[in-house]
Amino acid sequence: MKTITIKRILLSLVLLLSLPLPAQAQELIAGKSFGKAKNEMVVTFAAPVDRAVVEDPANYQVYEEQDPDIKLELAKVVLADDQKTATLSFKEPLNARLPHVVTIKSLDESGAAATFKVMKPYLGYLLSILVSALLINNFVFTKYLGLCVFFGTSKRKDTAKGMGLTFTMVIVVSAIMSWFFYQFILKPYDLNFLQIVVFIGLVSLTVQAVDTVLRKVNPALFNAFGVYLVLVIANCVIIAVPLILADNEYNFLESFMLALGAGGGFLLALYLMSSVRERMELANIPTTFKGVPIAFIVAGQFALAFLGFSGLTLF
Amino acid sequence: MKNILTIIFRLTVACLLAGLVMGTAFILTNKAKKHNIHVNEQKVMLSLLGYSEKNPAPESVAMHEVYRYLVGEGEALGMGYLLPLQDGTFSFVTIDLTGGFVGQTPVAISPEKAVEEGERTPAIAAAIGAEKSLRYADQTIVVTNDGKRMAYLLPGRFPGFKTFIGAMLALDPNFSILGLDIMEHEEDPGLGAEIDQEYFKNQFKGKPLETVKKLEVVKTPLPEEYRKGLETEKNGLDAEEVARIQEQYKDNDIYALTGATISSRSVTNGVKAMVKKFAYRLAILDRVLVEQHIAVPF
Repeated sequence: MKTITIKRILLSLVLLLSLPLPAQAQELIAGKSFGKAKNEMVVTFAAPVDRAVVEDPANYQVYEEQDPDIKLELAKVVLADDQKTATLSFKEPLNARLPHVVTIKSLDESGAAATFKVMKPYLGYLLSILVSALLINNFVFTKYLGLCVFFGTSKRKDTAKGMGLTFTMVIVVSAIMSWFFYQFILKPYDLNFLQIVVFIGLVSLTVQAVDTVLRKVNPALFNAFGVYLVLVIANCVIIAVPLILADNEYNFLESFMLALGAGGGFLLALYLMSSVRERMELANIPTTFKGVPIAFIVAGQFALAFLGFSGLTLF
Repeated sequence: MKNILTIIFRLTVACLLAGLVMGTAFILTNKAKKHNIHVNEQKVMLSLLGYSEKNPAPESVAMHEVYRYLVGEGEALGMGYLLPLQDGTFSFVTIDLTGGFVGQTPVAISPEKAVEEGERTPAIAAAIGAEKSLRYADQTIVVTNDGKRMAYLLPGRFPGFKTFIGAMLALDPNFSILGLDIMEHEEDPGLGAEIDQEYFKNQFKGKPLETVKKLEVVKTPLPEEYRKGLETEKNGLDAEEVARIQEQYKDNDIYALTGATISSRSVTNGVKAMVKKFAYRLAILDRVLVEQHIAVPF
């Protein structure tokens, strides 16, 4: 029953995020993106265009948005046979992380210039924040945070799953509250030195709420958590997220993604760990290594494996 | 109900007291903290110029900070530079994108406050009028010795393998690299994190502008002799020997770090872009300064 609702929530989230962002209406330009090669841009026109105009690099002006005084040099422009798709090749590789501004002179009969921005889609950036917090910079395996709760509640799969979800919920709620507090109270009134205290207060508030709800709704899980639920208050993963948000000046959506990624990363770590630890109870382990020592070794192996995600770029 | 009220009252008092204590501590220590950060930056800058505790900078060496802004007026964009003048005041010079002089406005701000972006930007906005948009871009420190230009220091950030890499670059008046220091990075330990090791970052030392413009990364192993010359602190070779090795390899490409080609390439491309953009912009700024007879102390 529970898993179904969770799946539904996740599915609706994915659907919500994959809605196409409203495209900016431009009469001449149908699409634009960075090309496959490092020094390429691809521009798609709405209607067939004049080959002589489009293939002349002198008609172009391209710069990185932050450096409008430094024009990037075009090597050549190739228009495809359908006269709609132009591939711009530059002399130097482009930095695709930055938005570029392109101006094409005298494209139609009126001689007006078309100016447009080429950048990676914002949704991709949001997802990259999520993936980064989830896998690349997994809080447990690459930043070594939250280890106390991690080793404490990863003995059983059910506990681990419950804890992971509780954790994610607490992180998301407290991070969003912290974001509002930081943006609208701490920053305008120059109270940044109260950051840590305020964030800890907000986290403990959320944890207390979860504690009260769980006690009534699912006493079995509540008892399984034992002392660890209260320990979440002083957990460094939970407090790390608001601090990172404040540091990076993320907006609301970015903050939400980071919180979701951090929580999801913790859930993933707990789930993987508990799966291994359940199997290890049946394995023939030397007495000296039984219990926590072998768990430490396994965690180290996971950390090594997670290094493989380093430098992963999807978007 | 009565309980709730007393609890609320007590909590409020406790919070106010805690806030007071923390606020007082913050106000008392804030000045010292800022000062320490500033001193630390200065130390890095001076060490890039070859000064150290044993060999302190002479009194005649002075640093002048130039702040670059993007100025927007309606659709048009331009560059703005906040420059210190010889009489100790500040002036904001605006230049259009093709390098033509647009205007010059005096900015009323003290040198101590000009360092803080939160103080500086509003002061400039007040001076040039509210209809223009301002965006802070970067800063450059011009180092002079007896009023003659000795070096430029460029703090910059560029994307690395994982997150951004913050670096400080020192150039001589001919835009040859005097030194590179990595200020912040989050590269992988043992791999990309080696960018802040001497044998990598010192490879940039002594490379002239023409070489830097075409700088690439090669995957061949670092020659042993070159490594000895790069690790000056460790090996303690005499200065002549180091200079000879640096001269011999000055037109070479950058030898990539083992297992961290992407980090090596990121730093190389970042440095390349910084030097190229700076050389281009400084030529324009210098020309404007000469044409408009703006008296700067450098």
